[in-house]
Amino acid sequence: MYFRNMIKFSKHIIFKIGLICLLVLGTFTAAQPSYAESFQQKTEQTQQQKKKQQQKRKQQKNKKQRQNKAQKNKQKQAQEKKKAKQDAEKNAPIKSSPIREEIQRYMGYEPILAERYITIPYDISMNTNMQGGFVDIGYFIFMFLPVIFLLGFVRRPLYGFSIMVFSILLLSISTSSSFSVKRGIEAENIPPNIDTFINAVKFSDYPVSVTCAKVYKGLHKIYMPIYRGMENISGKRDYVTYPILASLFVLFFFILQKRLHQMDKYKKSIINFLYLFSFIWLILACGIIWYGYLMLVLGLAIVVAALTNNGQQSWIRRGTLGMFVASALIWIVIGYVYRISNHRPVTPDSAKLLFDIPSVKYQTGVFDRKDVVNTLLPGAEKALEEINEDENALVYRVGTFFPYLIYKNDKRVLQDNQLGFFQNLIQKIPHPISLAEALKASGYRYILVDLNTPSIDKTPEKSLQRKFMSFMVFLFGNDKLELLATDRVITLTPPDDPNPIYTHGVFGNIHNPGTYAIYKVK
Amino acid sequence: MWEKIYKSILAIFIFLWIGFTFMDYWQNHLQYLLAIKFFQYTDLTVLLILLGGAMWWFYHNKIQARSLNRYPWFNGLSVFLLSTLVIMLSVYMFQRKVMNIGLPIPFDFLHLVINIFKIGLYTYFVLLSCYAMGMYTLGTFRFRMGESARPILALGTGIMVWVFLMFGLGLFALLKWYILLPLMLLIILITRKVSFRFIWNTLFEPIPLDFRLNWLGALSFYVLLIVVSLNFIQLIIPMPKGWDSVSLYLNLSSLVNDYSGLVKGHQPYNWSLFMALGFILFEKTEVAMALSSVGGFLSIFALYYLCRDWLKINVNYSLLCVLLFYLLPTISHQSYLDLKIDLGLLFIMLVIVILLVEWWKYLASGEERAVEVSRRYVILLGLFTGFALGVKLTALIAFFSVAGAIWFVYSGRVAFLAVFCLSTFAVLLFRLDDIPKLRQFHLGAEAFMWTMLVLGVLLFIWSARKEKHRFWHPMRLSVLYGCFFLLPVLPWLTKNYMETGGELSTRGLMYGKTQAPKANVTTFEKKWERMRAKEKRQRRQKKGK
Repeated sequence: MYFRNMIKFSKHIIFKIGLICLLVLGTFTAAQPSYAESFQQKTEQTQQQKKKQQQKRKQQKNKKQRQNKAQKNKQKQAQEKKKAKQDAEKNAPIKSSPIREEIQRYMGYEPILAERYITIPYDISMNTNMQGGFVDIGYFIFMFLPVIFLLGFVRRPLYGFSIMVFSILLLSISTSSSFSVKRGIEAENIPPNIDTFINAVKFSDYPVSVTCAKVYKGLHKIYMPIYRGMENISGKRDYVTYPILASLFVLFFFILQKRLHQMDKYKKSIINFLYLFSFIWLILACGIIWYGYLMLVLGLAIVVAALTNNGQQSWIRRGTLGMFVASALIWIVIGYVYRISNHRPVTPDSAKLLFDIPSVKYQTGVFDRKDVVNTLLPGAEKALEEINEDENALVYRVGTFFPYLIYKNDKRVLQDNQLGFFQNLIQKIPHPISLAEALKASGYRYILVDLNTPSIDKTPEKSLQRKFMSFMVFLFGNDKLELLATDRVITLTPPDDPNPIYTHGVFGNIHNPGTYAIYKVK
Repeated sequence: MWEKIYKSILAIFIFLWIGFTFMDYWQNHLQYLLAIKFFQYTDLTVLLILLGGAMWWFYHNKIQARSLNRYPWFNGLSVFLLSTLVIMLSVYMFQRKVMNIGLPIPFDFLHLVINIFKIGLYTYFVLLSCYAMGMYTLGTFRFRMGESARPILALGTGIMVWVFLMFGLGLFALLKWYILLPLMLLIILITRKVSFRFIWNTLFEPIPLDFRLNWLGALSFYVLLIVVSLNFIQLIIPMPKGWDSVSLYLNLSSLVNDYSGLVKGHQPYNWSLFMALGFILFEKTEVAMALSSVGGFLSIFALYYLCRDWLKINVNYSLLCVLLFYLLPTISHQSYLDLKIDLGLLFIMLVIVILLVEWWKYLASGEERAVEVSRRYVILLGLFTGFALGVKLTALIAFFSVAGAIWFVYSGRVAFLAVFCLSTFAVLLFRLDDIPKLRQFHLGAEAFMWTMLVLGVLLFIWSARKEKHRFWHPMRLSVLYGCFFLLPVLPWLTKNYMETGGELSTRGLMYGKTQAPKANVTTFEKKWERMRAKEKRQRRQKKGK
């Protein structure tokens, strides 16, 4: 029975593999014209050699050998040059840009391009690149997606095994890659790093972390050969990632059709709709989850349907359903607790803040709008009044919430959140005072700064942090600028003074880091 | 024997996979551990459990035991009142813990309840006008659909039509309350029967009860109600808190209100226009925020419909599924913390999926008028997809996917793969992967793009040769879909085209030209040099004097 299935499977698969090979080969060949060119050159050269041999066979034997050698050397050199050029293209330094800092951080900055895409499903579930409630999609999709495939292949072991193998490969790439990127270490150094952790902590203290670390270590063994292979064909830039992703799409499309074989074409079409949606999201959205909420919602519904709707209840299905219900109940508890902590349970005090005090005071009629704004942005009221008085004064903005409170902000505010423009400007006008004058000459009267701007920087080169540092140098002690307001508190007295004196300021011994600063260009 | 071994391996794999995934998730999200460790609201939770337990006891003994499928006091209004009670309990517990208030202050709570009712009523009014407009539009075009899908589709259509109207009015700076409010009242008056039915059904009509509802379904419903209530009360603040809402989406709505018209530049902002109703009609940031969040609330109903009608999941698991979705921190975050437009977009996308489901239902029923019905569905699908693109450009993904679904149904797998190839070609041709600056990493992208085109065309030819009669119908439908997809986008494209002074680039057409000051280093430098020269001249003149 299984043998027959295997033959049937292989017959089906021949066509599909053929299609995928065509896709990969076609693209690969088209993407690297150098192979075709070199082949053509080789043929021409051999023909020429033959003619020469016929004419001067006897007389120029020695000469011919020398020529051949020289030609071969030339060819080698040309090929080496081409390879070096390709390598240089692949490894050319990546320019920092606001989009790299702002958008690509969700995707991660793995050194191998193909991995950046392949690890997205794991990364968005485990939040390895970005942390926080706003990117947290729970564990259901990643946990149950392979499971619902497997449940459909209870009678098709070959498909079942393929899914298992693929899941393990995906997990090994994702865990190892995320481990090395998070800690900034090379892939080879993962096992010693894990060993250090395992030796440093007791299993009884951190059972979950130690167990996971051991699994990571095991998965790393599977990952290393893949990594070495990928290193050869991929890199920061490459020719193969798109063809690989497209081939995986086609391969899984056929597996998906096998999984859905009992459904009518209408139901299948909507699942295929979701499948295509997910693929395009993967190549376009940089792993930003809210661009693909539809996948999340329909994915959940399909998982629940696959686990709960079935005629015959095998013990595997019953067991899986039990695990699903248990994990759903755990999710309800942690989801509720997290929601009641208002997404910020860092300390016992912050966990009390189910609501904000100013918001509740507003809802119960104690505060009006002005009071709320004053409480949320302490000290900013006067500065904002001044900015709103002169409707022609332009505002240079590096982050902050203020534009919402600035009248006609669409016409007056220049947004430079990732300091891309500032970077260009300071290259032309490096002196801080001159730069302030240049701002004034262009009509800018105010500067708004989010003091936490560099906190979003996840790039390996820390480009935003560097830009922000140079921006702070521009602000520091600049005679042409006047600090109008800030919620940062600094200490005027030495750190160990028993009677500390505090004041609002941007530079000095920081007591409370604050969030914003408003400057006036004099 | 082999089967047993395979099944055992399968079971072990599933167990290990689920176990490891859970542990990995847990250790990567220590905030949940902290939330449990520092949990401060045991008293509130006990109160809520008692309240929920009492309701469950009542339902189990008085309703389920008597086999009643409706109970007169269980309707939309009573659910809203229950929600208000949950809010009051939560606020009081918060005041006790954080603001050191002993006994509840009646005046404060009166104010709170008035606020809840006021913002609730305003939001409800907007939704009612959308429903009325949607029903009117669908009725005018004699659009047929299932009973359970009708309210969701009507709301989606209504939102779309109102936004189109607002766009038109915005061109002439006519987005004033004294224009919009009478229009809304007029449409409610015109569709008075339908509108009254909506009010009656949503507020007073007893909610039908399913006998199979068990503790899991009831628990899911109750927790969902708590989460929705908490999200709702946190919208009643005078200023949005989230980064994106303040700097873009709600800022745009606020600017639309300031100018009583459209704001120049930006990518199409349909949902921000919809949110602007809160400012224009009621001068309330809270209502604008509620309209941002309402997308998530409506998605609950859309998802419940899909679970029940499409996937045939039983009532308990359907409610569980909806709760699992709404409890996701990313959804919660956008429901009350950072009020963006993605939940609105999600609702529109779900409407698109519902339309597909309804369309397929008609096709599966083998009706004679299938061709005509298909055309109508395709037109509506095109309009909704175009509208979604006007909410956010990422909705383009849905355009390709819908085309794929249509071709799959009519021509099968090969045609679907052809659509996949051509979609990838289009994505690369229009350099959509360059918007997040990813193109620079793909060295052979151009060659890959042309390969995809060739493969796509070859697959289409193969599909056409295989089954000629099944080729032209989806082709016609795709063209129709494409045309109606462009229709809602065209006004935005025209606006952007005019703003940029006739620029025909993808970026120019999609983003237009804002009025923000230009960031041009050379201009900065020139102005600075001019200023210095002027200052020097002035100094020389002073010296001369």
